[in-house]
Amino acid sequence: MTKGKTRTVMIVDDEPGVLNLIARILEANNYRTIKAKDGQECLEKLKEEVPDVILLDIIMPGLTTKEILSAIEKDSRVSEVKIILLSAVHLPEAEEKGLLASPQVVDFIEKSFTMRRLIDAVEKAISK
Amino acid sequence: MGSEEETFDKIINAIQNMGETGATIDELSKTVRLERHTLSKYLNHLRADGRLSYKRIGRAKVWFVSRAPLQHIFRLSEEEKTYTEKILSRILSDMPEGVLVLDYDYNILFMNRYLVALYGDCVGQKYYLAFFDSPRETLVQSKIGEIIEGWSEEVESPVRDKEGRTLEIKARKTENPDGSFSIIAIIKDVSERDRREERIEHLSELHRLIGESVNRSYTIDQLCSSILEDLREVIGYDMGDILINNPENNTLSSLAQIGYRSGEDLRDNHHREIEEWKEGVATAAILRKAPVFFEAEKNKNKKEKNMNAIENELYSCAYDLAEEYNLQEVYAVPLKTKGELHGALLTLMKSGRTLSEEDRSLIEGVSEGIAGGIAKIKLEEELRLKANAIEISINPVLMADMGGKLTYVNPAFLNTWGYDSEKEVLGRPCTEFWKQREGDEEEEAKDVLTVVQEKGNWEGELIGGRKDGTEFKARLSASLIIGKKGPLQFVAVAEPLKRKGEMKQ
Repeated sequence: MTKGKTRTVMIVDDEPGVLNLIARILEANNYRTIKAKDGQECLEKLKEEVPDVILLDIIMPGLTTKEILSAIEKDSRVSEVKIILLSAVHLPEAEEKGLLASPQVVDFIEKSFTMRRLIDAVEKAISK
Repeated sequence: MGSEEETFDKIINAIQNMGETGATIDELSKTVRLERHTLSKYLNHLRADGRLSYKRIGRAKVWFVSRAPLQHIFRLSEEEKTYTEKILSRILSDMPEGVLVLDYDYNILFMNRYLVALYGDCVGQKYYLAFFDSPRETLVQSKIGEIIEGWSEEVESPVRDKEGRTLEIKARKTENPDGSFSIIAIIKDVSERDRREERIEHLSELHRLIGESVNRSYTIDQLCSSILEDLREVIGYDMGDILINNPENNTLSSLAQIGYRSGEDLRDNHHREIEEWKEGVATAAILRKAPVFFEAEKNKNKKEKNMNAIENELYSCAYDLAEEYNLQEVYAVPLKTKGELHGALLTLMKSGRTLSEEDRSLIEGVSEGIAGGIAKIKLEEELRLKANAIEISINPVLMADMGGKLTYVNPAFLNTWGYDSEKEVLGRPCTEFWKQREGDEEEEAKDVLTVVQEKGNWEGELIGGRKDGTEFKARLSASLIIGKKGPLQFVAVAEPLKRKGEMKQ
């Protein structure tokens, strides 16, 4: 990972198995993590702390991904935060829904994925 | 009470003896020898009971013996009805089902508002003409004939009327006060329910057939051909095509066709032109993301009108296609799954033949299932293509489950480790194929799995142990695969490191 200060990654996923696993692995790779189980919790936690990167699952109960992205875009405090979308749907569907239109979205990772792909994406997002 | 019943019978007999013309109160008074006032009381009692009815002629009432149940209710004007008769006639009239009363000779005596809305007021007409527009002899179909012919007292049966409606009829024989009989029938138009049931049946049959086709098919071409046949089995269209989008060059190509003239030269210029017309219609459906329905008769002049480019192209292509094959209808449905348009399905009907609204909605209803099948096969094809890259890779690739047992190895793995078949290695712990790491004898290969589980991935050097016992050094890159619910598998790529001697060679 990028040397220097410890970077923070917020993971937003309603699947506890995925949420905890990614958080644990990122911590083992010297990242700080913030966990949120849905969009509402993500936006609430963003009020307390601004991460470097958000890993955002795109199918969750409650707020839609569009609503979350729109709320993040409107909040100037978090306008620099890079977002990586994690998804069980294919890229064309996400494109049609306009989820990749936000300038803060820097990557799209389809599930299933390797942790190498995810860690590389986080490092790339931070270095941007 | 006995003497009262005797008086009732006397009055009824007296009216019957006076024949078809009926009887006035004066005539009856003389015959049954009852004072007018008393007679009037008995007559009204019999009328309320439904056994007698009257017609008003001038100021006089002419009394008749009822020839049908409830006759007194529907013969009288509203003002002449008693309170109960008014309520009863309103209930009959407003019932959400049809009420029909026939005499023993098929004459319609009463039909309520429900039936009047379907057939108009047919009171006085023959039932078989009004409902079936058919002569009496074929009436057995309507089942009511079975009662009239004396074969049964009660029938319950669905029948089809002259308009093609499905009627559910429940009818029963009823004795009349004059000794004859009538038929009371409750009739419900169940055409819509039948259509819905038929549609659901067809839809589930089509989904079943499409599901089978998807399971059977190995390529998209196979799937499309199979789907066209399945669809034609349920919906008898004349010709059909499935055109699939080619994302590389954004063109459509016909992957399957059915019902066309055999022996057409596909390289022929005219044939190419026909294909372009089909592509034009399919493109319109894809761009609209909604079905396109072209009717040759209705739409033939549209292409001259002022339209946007897409519509102009659509009508022009559909018109030319219709001319070429003498078509009555062209129906194109986009094949889309969430987020992806895969192509379009075309169904063509020859002159004189039409696709019903139900058929069109059925095709639209299964279009997403077809598109889903196409997407699935497409994905499988893609995966097979990608798997080729792993298969021909010169670097060994392996996958293991979360318990560390091998689930996949590529040919390079077998070659490097000296095995003949994957059967020899699958299911075995992947750690069996590695020895202690050079320079760090304490840390065994199995620790690599622990590190991958902890950190998500690992890269480093290990010593591989071949089947024949020889060893080799290799660089390994391993990672954890995460699925929708959590960790799924380990995947690793090895790169055998050549010794200096081998490098020179």
